Amino acid sequence: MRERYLRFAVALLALIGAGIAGYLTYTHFHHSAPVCFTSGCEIVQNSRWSKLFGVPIALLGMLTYLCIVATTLVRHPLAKQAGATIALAALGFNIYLLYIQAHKIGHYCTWCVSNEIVSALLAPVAIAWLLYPGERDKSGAT
Amino acid sequence: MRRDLLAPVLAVVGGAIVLVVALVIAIHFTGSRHSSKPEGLSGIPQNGIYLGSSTAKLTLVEFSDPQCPWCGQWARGVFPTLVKKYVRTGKLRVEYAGLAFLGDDSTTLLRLAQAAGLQNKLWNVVELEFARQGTENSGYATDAFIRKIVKAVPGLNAKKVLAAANTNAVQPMIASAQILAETRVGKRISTPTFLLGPTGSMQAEKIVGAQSLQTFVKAINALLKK
Repeated sequence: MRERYLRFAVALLALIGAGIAGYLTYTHFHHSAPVCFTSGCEIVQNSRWSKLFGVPIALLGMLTYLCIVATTLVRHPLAKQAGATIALAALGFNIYLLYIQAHKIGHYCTWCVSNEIVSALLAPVAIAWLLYPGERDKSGAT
Repeated sequence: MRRDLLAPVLAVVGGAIVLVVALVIAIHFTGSRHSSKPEGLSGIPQNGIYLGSSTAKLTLVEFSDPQCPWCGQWARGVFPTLVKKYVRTGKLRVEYAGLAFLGDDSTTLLRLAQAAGLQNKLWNVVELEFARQGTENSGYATDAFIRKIVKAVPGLNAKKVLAAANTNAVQPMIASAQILAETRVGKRISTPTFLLGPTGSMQAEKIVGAQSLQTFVKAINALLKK
């Protein structure tokens, strides 16, 4: 039963992350400014760190979160492992992006920081989900 | 921890570390390439101090000092989107009204930009000057610094631009920007300041400071609708 809650929490947090990243992706492709509580959103969005091989980081982030959501829909131990791996990698990369904002760009983007918080919540929940025995494990099914 | 969970946990942590390292290396690689070869202006017509089509409905005059940190922030944060959305689409032309009142580095960088304007590459140089902006009056605009900027602009004749920057060839453009600032904005101008209005018209809306993208988008859209 608890495994189901953990899976739900992973999916919910990943959907929130996908929503934030999706909004930033939308503003990127529509050349509009994100609603921002600091002056840093546009600066961070237009910085040289905002793209990876020409693809906006926000779009990659959205796809990453959607991948995590997809892993919660598959009831297989490997899906759990994949979800936890992606969530942990996302946390590591988000920490790096926070460092970039603080030390390289000198400005913070509210939405990016929100995403980093979501990622910081998601990673431990995904690990807990990985460690918690699933229904199949408990029943001894293979 | 249960023994049977050790292998999957190690696989997860190992996989995540590999992914993060790969991503960090990738973003460093593509990020540094982007900074040395800015391609945001490629294909956009330039003519001296102007960027964009001469038939654009609106013109935005930018008064800025190459060392001014707020100008740099605006240039890095807001300007690229305005270029993509309005300049590249032929709706807006941007006019450079460079000023140098902060110190010697400003003068050096302004002369370099205006010299590049003689080869219709002013905006590439201005973009790089703001992208690599140093601390105000720290003496960062050294020979090596400006040579690196010149080298990074594709199609710019380095010898000619460095020679022109040290001659009187750039003086008329610098003087006319100063006169424009005094007559249209006032003697006590702060940077960045912008004048936005129909191309060829003296009527213009004044925007003071490194305002947000939204401010510019609103003002431009309102004038485009007229």
